[in-house]
Amino acid sequence: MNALETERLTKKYKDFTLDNVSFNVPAGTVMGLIGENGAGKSTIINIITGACIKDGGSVRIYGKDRGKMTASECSDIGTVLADCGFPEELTISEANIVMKGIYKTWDEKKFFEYADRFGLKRKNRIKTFSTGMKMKLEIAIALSHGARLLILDEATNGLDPAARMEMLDIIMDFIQEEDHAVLMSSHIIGDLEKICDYITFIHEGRVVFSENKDELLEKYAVINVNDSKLRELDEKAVIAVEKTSWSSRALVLKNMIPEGFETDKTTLEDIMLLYLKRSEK
Amino acid sequence: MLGLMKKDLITAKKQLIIVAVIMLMYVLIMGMGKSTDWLSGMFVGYSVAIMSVVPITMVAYDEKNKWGRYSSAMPISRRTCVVSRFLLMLIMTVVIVAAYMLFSMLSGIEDAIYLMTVIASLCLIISSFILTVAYRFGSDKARYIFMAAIFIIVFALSFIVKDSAATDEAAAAISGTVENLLTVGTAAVAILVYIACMAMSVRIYARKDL
Repeated sequence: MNALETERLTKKYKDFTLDNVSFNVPAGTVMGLIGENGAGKSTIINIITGACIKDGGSVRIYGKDRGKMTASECSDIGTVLADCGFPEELTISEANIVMKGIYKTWDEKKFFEYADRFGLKRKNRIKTFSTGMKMKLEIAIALSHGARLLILDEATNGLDPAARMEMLDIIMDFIQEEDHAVLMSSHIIGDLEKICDYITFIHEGRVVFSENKDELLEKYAVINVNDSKLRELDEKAVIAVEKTSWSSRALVLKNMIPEGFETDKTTLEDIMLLYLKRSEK
Repeated sequence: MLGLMKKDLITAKKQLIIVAVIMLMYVLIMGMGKSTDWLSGMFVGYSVAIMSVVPITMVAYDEKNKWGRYSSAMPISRRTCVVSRFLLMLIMTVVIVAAYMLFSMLSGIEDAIYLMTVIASLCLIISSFILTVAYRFGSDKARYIFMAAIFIIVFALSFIVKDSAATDEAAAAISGTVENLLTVGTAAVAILVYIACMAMSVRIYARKDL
């Protein structure tokens, strides 16, 4: 079963169009959403959460049309956003009071357990929290109302390495439940490579690929060769090339290059950057 | 809806406490003195000031915290977000009217019912109008639009009431029946404006990208 299905999502702005974006997040998996600044990642997340009105397409969460979900079905969605949306004038105790009045499924005991675990003092105002603490608060809120689908929009950006590891551990714990799923966008592709099962790459409002991460890393390779060696390759095998003064760095299909070509260790970041180079041409 | 109203009240807590303390001091200290028209007028002015500042403050806090985007995934419809705020304005109006009732009892003001209706109507009309403008244009622009509207109204009124003798004569000519009709009419207009502004705000907010 898919936790999240987006089909032909479209949103038009003056200078940007999100164009027929489709991808699925199966239950029990983590989907990473990558792309350069302004690619449309946040727009996609805003459409899924309902912050943005789409111009076309559909969003289904656990089989339900997003626009027709009941209040209890909406409790399935938990969000962690880079700019904390929770009123900073409130304390943790006051946040609990507010959330209790919003979510029928609110678990006060669980919320305070998470708050204590993350070192969030109940009497302190949210405006006094660091970036990492605000992210932890949002995670605590998201995990305290029975969310099954967690949506994170650049939630680990601005966190120190220890805080990022802690966040990733929490996500890995969350995904242990079979029916849980995570959609996370991040510029820190190394983090996504550690925990994601699937990757969707967005560029200029379009999906470049949406594939299994391991298959992706198996499918592509990066080679560093001079121009004459590059010309030996089948054109169809070369996805993108970045030329320097003395060699070319190319993204190729692994199964189409002959024996003897040395490939470098390929990362998601390499794949994304080389794809971007290709589109610049 | 209760959660949203609690959020607004807690977020604006500091401001509301100051407003309530000033109002209480006004009611107790000034109310013990002689009743004069200008004291009632000041009360009306103060009520209008509160009901023009507090709604914009609540919208401004939401914009600053990007609450709209964050709350979009919560089990609360956009309609509920707007209606809860309008209900809060209604509750605040009732509190202000209750404070005026206490004030009028202490100072022995006559025509208290009429003045309470005027206060309630002005509070509802002002807060509804300013909330609708804030939802449409944002809190920053709403402040400027509101200041411009006040300037235009005061400027227009200054021409109408230029001749204070004629105004006094007109006021004295209002009989009991006419005053009752005015009271009911004022309340009816306020209720209509309140409902219309709420409906408009629901439409505006439903179509907004948060």
